[in-house]
Amino acid sequence: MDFIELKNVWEMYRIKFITDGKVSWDNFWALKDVSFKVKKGEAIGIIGENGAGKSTILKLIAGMIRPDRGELNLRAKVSGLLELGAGFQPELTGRENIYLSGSLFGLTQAQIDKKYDEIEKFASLGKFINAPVKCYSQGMFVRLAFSIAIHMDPDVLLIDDILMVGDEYYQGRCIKKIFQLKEQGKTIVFVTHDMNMLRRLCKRTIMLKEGRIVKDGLTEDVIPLYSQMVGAKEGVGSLMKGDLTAVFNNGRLFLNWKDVLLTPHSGVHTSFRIGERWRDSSQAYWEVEKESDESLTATGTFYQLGLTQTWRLQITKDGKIRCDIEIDSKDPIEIEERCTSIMLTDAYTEWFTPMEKGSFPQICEDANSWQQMIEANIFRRCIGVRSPGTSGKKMPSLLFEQPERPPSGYSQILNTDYYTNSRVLQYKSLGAGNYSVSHGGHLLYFSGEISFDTPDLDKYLKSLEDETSLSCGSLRLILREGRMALSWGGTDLTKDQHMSTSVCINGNWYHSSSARWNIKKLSEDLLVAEGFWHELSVVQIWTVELTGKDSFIWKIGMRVDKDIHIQQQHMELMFTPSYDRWFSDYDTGGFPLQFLELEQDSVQRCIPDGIVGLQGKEERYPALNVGFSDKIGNFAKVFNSDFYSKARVVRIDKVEKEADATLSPGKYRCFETEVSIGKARPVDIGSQANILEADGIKFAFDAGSGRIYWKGEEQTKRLGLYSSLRSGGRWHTSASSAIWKLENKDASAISAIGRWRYLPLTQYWQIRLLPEGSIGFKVDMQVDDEIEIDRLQMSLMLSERYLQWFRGKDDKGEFPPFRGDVDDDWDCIWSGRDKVCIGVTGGDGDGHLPQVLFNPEGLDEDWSLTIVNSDIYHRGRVLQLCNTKKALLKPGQYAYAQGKITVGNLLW
Amino acid sequence: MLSIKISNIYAYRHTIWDTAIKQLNSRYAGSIMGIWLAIVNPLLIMLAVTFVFQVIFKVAIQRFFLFALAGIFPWLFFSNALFEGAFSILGQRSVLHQFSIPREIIPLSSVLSNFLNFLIGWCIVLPLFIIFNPGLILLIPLLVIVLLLNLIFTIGLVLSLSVLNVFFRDIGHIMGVLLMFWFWITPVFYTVDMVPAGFRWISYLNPMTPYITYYREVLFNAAIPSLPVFLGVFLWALVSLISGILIFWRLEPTLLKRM
Repeated sequence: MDFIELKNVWEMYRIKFITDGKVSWDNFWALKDVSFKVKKGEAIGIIGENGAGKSTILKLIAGMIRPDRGELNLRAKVSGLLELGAGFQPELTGRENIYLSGSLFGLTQAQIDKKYDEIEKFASLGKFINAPVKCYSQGMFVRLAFSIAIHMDPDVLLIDDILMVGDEYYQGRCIKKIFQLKEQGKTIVFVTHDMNMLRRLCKRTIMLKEGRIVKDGLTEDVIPLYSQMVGAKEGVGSLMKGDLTAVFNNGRLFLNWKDVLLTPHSGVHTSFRIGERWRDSSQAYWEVEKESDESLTATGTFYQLGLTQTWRLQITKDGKIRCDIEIDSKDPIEIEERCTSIMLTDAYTEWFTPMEKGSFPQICEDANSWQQMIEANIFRRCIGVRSPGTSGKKMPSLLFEQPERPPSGYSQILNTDYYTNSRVLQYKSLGAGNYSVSHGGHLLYFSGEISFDTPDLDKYLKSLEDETSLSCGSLRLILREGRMALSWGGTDLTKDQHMSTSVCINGNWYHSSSARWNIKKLSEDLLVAEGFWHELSVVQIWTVELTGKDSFIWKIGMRVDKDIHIQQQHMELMFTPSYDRWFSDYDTGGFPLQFLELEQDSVQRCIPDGIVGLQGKEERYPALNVGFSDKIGNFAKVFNSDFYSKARVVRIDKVEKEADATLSPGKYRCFETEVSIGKARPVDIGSQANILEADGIKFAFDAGSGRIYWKGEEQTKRLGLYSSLRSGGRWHTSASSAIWKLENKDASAISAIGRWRYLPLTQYWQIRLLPEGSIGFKVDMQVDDEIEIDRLQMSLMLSERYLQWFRGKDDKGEFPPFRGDVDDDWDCIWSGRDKVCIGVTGGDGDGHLPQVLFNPEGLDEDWSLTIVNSDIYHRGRVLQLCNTKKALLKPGQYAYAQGKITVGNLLW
Repeated sequence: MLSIKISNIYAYRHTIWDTAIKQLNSRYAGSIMGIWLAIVNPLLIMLAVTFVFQVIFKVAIQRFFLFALAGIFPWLFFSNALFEGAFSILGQRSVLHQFSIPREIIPLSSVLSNFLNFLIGWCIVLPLFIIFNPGLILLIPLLVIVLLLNLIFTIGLVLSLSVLNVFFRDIGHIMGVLLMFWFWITPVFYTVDMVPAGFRWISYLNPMTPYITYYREVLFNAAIPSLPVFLGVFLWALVSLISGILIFWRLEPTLLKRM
């Protein structure tokens, strides 16, 4: 049954105009030929701009006014809140007004008595119910009015949501009540500007424009139309060609394909940040100048900023939309971030770039933040979406391309929150200082293309990627903006920053991904890329050459135009954590399982020459060798990345002859590495030349750290025997800061030379096996240049299984638990000079553990002995020789430390 | 059409009554004397009139204060009802915008509330007349008739004025002056006989003349009014009601658009 029926209704208002004192009357048609029917129990929404006739329709249905032409049939009792004021008598109390309103609604005293409690409860006015309504606050007033309106038990409820003012809590209750009434089968006519509420409450929506019904249909179809058409008329313009219709509406470009709106939420728009504030292109005042059906220019003015944005839109011959956006400013202004985004319907289920593809997850109801689909911070010149399924509407594939990479620009593909419910394609750039419109002027904001339904999409994408990649067999290298990704049989071996470089110049680090790159493919197996940073007069040149099915050479050179002071530089290869072991020519080991908040140098290796490699258990991740040479000053380190990157890192540093190098103009070789895949070179420790062994004790020297084994079991932990010194507030340990070379080796002695990378220091270590299970050590130091030293240490880090310490013969104690809050100075348990030796035992419980004794020899007066518990991360018991005297060391030879380590049962 | 309208209004009879009562309440809600004002008002005016006409002008009419009261008391009802009624629709704008009720209710309840106020006043005024004229008790049915006809006459006028005031706001502005003018040409402080013959047509054309004459005949003279007075009262009520209804119905459909 139709409850409400409007047949060709016209409604006219006579409006009095007073211009310069002259009165004239004009007819204004608020509704023109409006016809629709509402069934019992239906909830329909009415939307339109202000003045479109929404309220007039409500007034008609409510019987306030009658149609001037046409017919209105109504078979129902109507209630609702149509106007603030709500028919109250200001002098009367809330209670009296409830009765008065009830009576005006046509209810008898008894009927109102029955509803009274509910009305009072819903209005929740407390004792104010007995106060005259003239004393009410606006919120109380509306609460009472709304409560009365919905409790009158009408057949039809009219709601104009601008009248639902009040605090959020009360609005929530109102909305809940409205939903309840809907479930009870009440007919609801809902006038609103809140598209989200509309979507939830009404299946059907009528859109009005200038008094006429523009569309009467499913809410989900009407809302998109509304968002395209609403807004100031001078800011609207449309382009059309073939299946494509693009509507520019006040800072947003809506895209339609075969009459399906692809961008129901916001369309193409820009947003930028100045200071802390983001601005959206829809906030500007727009004027559109249409040139033809296929091109237009829109100028948007941000009045508060004195800034204009100009969009030049054009549909090209092949049906793409070309989009050039510029910014002009009168005043200096610094744009810190800027985005150009397309918000697309969630009917798109898959995303892709030339490098990768994937499916969008469903946007769940509890999704309240946006979710990234692709790794951020990487620029892709083309991003897109498609919907390959046959179900639902046929969606054309959509490509969003920005061929020129802006400085520090990158691309993003996002899922929005549930409220917005869209897929987003976005190009974003962080405006560096140079890219601000600094003295008033002109900035190219964005320049790109949007294409639809691209034929042979996969082929096109492949061609884009092939321009910057090399393949041979299973091996594939893809060069992207200062990063090189490596994949094997379709599996990515690298991650996050992949393979990249960093240079430290004048104290600032410059990552290769922040440079602008020109990539040239010289042949099927040779790529050359040149990258330059705007603020530097340096060009980095990468040469990547495939040397077989399973190996490639990656060379990095530098062209310097002006004298430049390079402090440090390195290349970094980040591999997936599926690699769990590393190996080098000297040694092998496992990566820690956990990633910590900071980069973790736990592997503590400084590998001087040869290869470093990674191994994983899964077949998909073949072993990798990274070869490098110290001939050009390269040495390698292996470590775990921080928690955010979660990668295994091989870093190849370049050591300059002097600590800092000033490069004069010219070309330089920086790095050269050969990566080969599929060759594991596990190293057997026993076969290496750096082992001393006798009487069940084994000492293994390993690049600045010594490990001690007893009956085949390691008693040391992590660093083992190592030296460390603090200079300028930084620790430099023999294991991670120096490059070591074995000098000499025989059956009972090893001597090695370690050269510090960033300090003018060289250490000479002599390790000797002594009788009765002892190991003697002697460390000397050569200083090449004056150096300030805060602290010198020689330490032995032992397993945490040792529970007791002792000093001298009879002084014993238990180690306390490890503490997390100690930093540079670990938890020092004892420090002194008066004991002959210090040591640890396993305590009473662990008979398997030998005792370990640490005897210094020739202790100079600045040195003392300490027993230390390391921090919670290292978890080691540390016996130490320590010199805390600050000193300025002149060039020369110094004795560093000398002593004896004894391992065995019941030494004391 | 007519019967639908009437039955529609009839369906809202409770509402008319409730609204009239509420208006009556709210009229005195802010004041301390409350409902007593309904009685005090005419008495105060009577005292003032007596002072002016009997003490200062020394009018020859005996018991002039009763003479004046018999005229001024109904006039007060009439002029108040007319004035308030003319603004009733404009004043109840928010009610009309919120509730879909027969619009007639608004002027009707406005007149009704004034009428109730009038009736309360009678509680004091009538005994006063009876004290001086005990024979009056027998004439009370005649009084009831004129009260009803006066009510109908007022309703008719208020119906038309209340809507006309929406369309022609000037009416509201000149109401005060107009009522004052009307008051002085109506024989309230004088009788028709006292008007010079050349000007008597004014009194005859004035619809309020028969009403006031009727009231005074019954209350002051305790006499049965003459036939012309009877006819005048009856006819004017009829004319006013019919014209009121016609004007109201004519203008009502576009009423809310103009407010």
